[in-house]
Amino acid sequence: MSLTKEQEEMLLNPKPGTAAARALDYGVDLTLNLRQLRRSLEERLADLQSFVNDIETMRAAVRHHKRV
Amino acid sequence: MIQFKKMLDWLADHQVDFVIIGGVAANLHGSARSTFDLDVCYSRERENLDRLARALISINARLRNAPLGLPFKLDAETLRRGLNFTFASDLGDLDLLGEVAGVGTFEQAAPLAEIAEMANVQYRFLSLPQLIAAKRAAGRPKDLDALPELEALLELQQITYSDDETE
Repeated sequence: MSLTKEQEEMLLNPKPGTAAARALDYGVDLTLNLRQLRRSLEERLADLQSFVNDIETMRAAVRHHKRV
Repeated sequence: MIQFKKMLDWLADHQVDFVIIGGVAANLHGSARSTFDLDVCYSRERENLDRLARALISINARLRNAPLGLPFKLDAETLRRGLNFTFASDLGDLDLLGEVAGVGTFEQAAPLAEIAEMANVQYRFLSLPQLIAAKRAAGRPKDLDALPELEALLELQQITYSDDETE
C-alpha cells in the first residue's frame, strides 16, 4: 500500500470528525501507523518480530540481573 | 519466543487451512500494536485437522498453562472434540480458534479475508472490517482499546480504495 500525500496528511493532521481524529484524541500515535503503512507486509511482520526479540532480550537481562 | 514467519511457513508447509487473526492481522494492516503470539482461525474439516495435528506435533506443541501432568493427546480427534486451543511450541505460542466471535468459522471468515503474499506464499488474514467486528464481539477492555486505531486504518483504507476506483 503506497500512500499519497493526501492520505498521509489524513493521519498527520486528521480532520475533525474523522476516525483518525478520534483515534488521535484517544491517544493513538498515528505517526507510528504511517511508518507501518509505508512498509511492505513482510517488513511489518519483520518489525514485529524484531520488537518481540528485543523485549525477550531485555526480559532475559532482567532475569539474569535478579539472579546475580 | 514466537517466530512469526517460521510459524506461518510451518503451517503453510503442512497445507493447513487457516486465517491469521488477532494482533498479527492488525499488524499487517498497519497497526503499531505489538503481540507475542500468533492467533489463527482454522478449518475444522477432517483432513485439515489431520494436517494441523501433524504440524503441531512436529513443533512439539503442548497446552499452554495447563497443569503439569494433565493428560493430553495431540491428534485430529482431540482437535475435533475441542474448539479453541492455546499452545506453546518450539516456534512460540500459537492460539487456535475454531470460531471467532463476530466473524464465525474459517469457512465464513476466509472468503472475506485479505491475502498477504510473502516470499511467494499466500496467507489469508482478517480484513479490517472483520477484525473490528471480532474486537467488538470480544468486548474485553483490551479489544475495545484497539478499536480507535483499527477504525482509523479502515477509514484510510476505504478512502484509498475509493480513490483507486476513481482513477
